[in-house]
Amino acid sequence: MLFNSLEFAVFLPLVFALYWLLQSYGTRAQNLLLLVASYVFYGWWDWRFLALIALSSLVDFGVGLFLTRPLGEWPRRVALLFSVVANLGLLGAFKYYNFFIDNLSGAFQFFGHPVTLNHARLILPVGISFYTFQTMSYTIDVYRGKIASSTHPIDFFAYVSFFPQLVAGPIERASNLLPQFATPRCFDAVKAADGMKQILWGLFKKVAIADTCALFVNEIFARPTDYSGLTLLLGAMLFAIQIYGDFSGYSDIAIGVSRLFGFSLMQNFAFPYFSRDIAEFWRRWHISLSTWFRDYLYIPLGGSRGKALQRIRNVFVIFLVSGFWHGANWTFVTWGALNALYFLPLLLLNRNRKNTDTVAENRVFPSLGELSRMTGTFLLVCMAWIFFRAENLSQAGQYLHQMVSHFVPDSLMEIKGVIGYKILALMVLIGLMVRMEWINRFGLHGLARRSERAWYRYSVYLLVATVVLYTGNYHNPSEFIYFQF
Amino acid sequence: MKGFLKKLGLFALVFILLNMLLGALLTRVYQWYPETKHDWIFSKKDMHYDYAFLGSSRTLFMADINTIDQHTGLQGINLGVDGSGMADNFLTLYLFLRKNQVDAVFFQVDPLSLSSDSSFSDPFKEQSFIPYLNDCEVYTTSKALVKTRWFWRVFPWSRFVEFNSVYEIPNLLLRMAIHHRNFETQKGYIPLTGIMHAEPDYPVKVKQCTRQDQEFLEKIGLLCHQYRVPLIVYTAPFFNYEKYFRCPEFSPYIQSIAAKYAASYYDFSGAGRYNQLSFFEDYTHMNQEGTAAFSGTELAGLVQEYCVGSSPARPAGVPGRAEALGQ
Repeated sequence: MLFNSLEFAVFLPLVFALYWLLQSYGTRAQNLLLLVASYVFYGWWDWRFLALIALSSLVDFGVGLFLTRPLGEWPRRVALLFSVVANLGLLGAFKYYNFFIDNLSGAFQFFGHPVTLNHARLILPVGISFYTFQTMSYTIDVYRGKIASSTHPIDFFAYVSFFPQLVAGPIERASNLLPQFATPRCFDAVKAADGMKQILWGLFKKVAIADTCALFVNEIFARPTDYSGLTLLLGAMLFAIQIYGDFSGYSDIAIGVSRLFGFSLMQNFAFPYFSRDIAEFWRRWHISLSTWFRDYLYIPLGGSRGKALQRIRNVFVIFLVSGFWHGANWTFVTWGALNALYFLPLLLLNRNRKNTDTVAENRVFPSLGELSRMTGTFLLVCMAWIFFRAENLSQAGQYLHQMVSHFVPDSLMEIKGVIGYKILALMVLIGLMVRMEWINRFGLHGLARRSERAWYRYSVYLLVATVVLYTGNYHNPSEFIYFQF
Repeated sequence: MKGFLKKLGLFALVFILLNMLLGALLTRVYQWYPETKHDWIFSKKDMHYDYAFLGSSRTLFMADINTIDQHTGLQGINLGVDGSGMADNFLTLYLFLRKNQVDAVFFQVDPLSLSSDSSFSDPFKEQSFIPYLNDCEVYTTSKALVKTRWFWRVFPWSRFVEFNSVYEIPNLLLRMAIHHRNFETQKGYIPLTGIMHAEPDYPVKVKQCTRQDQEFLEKIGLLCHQYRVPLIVYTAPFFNYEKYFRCPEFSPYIQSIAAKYAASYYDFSGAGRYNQLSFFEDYTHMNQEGTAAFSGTELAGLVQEYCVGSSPARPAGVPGRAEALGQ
């Protein structure tokens, strides 16, 4: 079930009404409803996926209970290993098996011993990378003694499958979300109203921005050799906006929906394109995944401590793994490596924590220096997105080669030919998004500010809602990009 | 909770009211600057035409009214809409005849339009008829085809939401200024400019006339009878028709229907002299060149015959209709 579908428009109010009607029956009844609703939500894609999520939840719930027993270190380690292997095994089997088969047969062929290895016919379950990481974090935290294990299967299963963030995050830590399932929730009108605004803003970014950008991006990336470098640069920039609108839009809807049910999820995007360097960008982009890797991979490896070589290794490991997490394709690994290369100079020069504040604090506009650094960071990010978007490395190479070798278009009509007059409408929408996010950059989302007069705020909400209504494709809603990860 | 729901309800109410206004405005704007062929057709009021061509894309792209008018000295209109099934054709004609007068209707039918569910991706364009759902005939027709008709009737503006890919509202202002589609100069005809370079290697399509299409075809016959408008039925040329289509029931069926409503039927589907690559954009649609030839001879001939009462002057060397049909 997609957030931008009519089914969800019926599903959400129904679950919302039942959920708060059940308040007098206690938290567990509400959790049970959330569990059922989440399984319906997830099973809407394919009911067979439910077995996987149930299995993953069962393994970690069992391991969590096991870890609470007074045991020696070795049984505890074995239990943790079992959880990690089970979760990564599921992920590996469904997401990476065919990739390994391809590369293995490629390697055999390279060394002159061609072998025939068969592909597995597997459908990648939606959101598997998200919920396996979420449930793994629980077991690791229980093992580390950071949290107590959950003793109520309904609470735990509802935590793993919580429908707002199930398929594309934010990847919630058990330490933040699980206790919320155990405590009574009261309806908070202010939070719920803000949640509604965040849902609206998320829909705007997904439906009006990302899906419209996709029309042009798909066209340009399908035939890069037909276009000049300028058009290709525009294509890369539009993809940067598309993926931001798509993914942060999803996160906004997820956080907003959770707030309607009295839950607080972590912020997943903090206006990343207003970053002044790559380090700041990575503190603001997909925060839940970056911090996951930081806490469970980067810091155990030694983090930014140690000798220079060790620090370089750690940076590469985290970015390469992050790239690989996105998909079984060398394009994602290259994307990760490129970001590591961007990040390294800042780390080695100890400038990676230079911009920890928000740009243009106490000012309306950024300074020229800030503006140029933001632009530079955005362009670097765009270059990396080319690898992320390309079907394979040779297409990415072709795209970059064409971009450099034939930059100036023979005629500006080329751009018009690709994208038609729609580009002007899209520019207006992107302008609106940038404007709203800029003035709300200290808040949680683009409609967070409450300082303006009520009539003005409500006019903006009406405008945004109208734009969402008239730009979306509700006949055949498009999926979110991150569902494939 | 109460306060929240109250606020939300109020917001929803204002939002709906706003959209009702916007919907009314958009309906009007699309009549002034029609984006779809239906919008253009339904914007016609109190007009009198000597003849009208009705049908699917083989009418829209293959009935050049200016050419026919030139040959005949009459005034016609092209009511063809691409991908339209029989229900679509029926309502188009019904709504057109309600406000306008026409002396003869030339109706293009073929196995594709009589099996519209499998032949066309969108055989009934409900969005075009939503503003007219209060009309009993439109509502009854929609009843058989659209489950959500009650919703459209209550919230007619929501058609611009569900079908915004058809209306392309974000581009509206821009299109109004520089790029609006001008159906008027071509009198509803849209020329196709491509050329089919090689014969396609498609498998034979076996078509079966659907009951629903048959039902609405009969309703078209009745409608013309009711308005006392002569109905002439024809099948437009295809490229290598016999090679690509099999529909044994079509010919006897259409002839029986034509006889039932005292209509003449002409079959140009396999007319040999149009069977050349340069006349087609694809195997089911003639391009501008093919259309000029077909409209200038066959269609102009039909119009002349039924609206004026005599055959037009035929250029030397061009075979007549009967010859083309092998009669």
